[in-house]
Amino acid sequence: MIEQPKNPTQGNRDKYFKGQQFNEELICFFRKHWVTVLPHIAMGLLLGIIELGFILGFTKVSPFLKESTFFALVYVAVVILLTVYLHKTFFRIFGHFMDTYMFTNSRIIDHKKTVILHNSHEMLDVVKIQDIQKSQDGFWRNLLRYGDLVITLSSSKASKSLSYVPNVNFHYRCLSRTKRDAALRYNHLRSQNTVSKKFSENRAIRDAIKTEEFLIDQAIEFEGRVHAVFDA
Amino acid sequence: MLVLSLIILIMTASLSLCFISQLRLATYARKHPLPESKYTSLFGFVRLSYVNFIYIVAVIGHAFLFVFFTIKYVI
Repeated sequence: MIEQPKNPTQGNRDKYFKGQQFNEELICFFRKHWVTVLPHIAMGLLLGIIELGFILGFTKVSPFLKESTFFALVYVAVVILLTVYLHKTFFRIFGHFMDTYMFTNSRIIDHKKTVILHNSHEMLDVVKIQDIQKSQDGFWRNLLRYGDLVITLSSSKASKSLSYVPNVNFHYRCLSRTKRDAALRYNHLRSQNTVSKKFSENRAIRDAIKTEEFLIDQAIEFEGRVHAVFDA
Repeated sequence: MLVLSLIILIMTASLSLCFISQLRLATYARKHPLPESKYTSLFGFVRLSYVNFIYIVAVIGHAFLFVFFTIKYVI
């Protein structure tokens, strides 16, 4: 169930993400499929194994480190590499969590973010979507139910590809519904706009007729007065 | 002693980086209170906070391990 906003005057503004609009509703959001994180998790496991090797084999290596400065510096270099490797692995996993696609009732937002280096937003207006194409080719893609969504815009031939979308069928249906609802809403607003435009046009005509009638009345009255003067 | 100094320097930098990343993650979490569910979690149950906890433990453990081994076996 959708929670009610705490402050009704704020609406949905900044409710789920910075930049959310007053009337904007978050329909769903997702991250890339876990297949993209597997290499980083494997890297992390490899790091764990290397450190375990260090712990187990340190007593054998320590005499070399005590005797030779060169080996001591090699040891420092290995520690630096392992430390960098540790941070890199975790930063990539954090990057997976921060890299999100959001579907709202008016926009599609691609938020690419990492802990330190990247922070970029890309937005697509739902009304401007012409076609949505789903591709899920290959054994693993069908087995693990992930794929790509290619969105073509009506304003240009440009297209936006959302890759490694998890549960791609669901998100394809969700985006199609969002697109249809947005199109209906847009057409409704446009027709309302047309009605109000016609109404204002009619009003202008009515005003003009009234003015004309008033002028005719004035002229008749004036003519009557002139006749009265002549009669007198 | 040079090796120990270098190791302490590296681990201090490592812990500082961990601290900076914590600040940035906290800012991110504050600005993006997205409604998480099992469909948005990694493997259906791993959340950002869990990974963050493992990260803190790993960085502190890594620093402690290498400083300890350097003091015990290298000096």
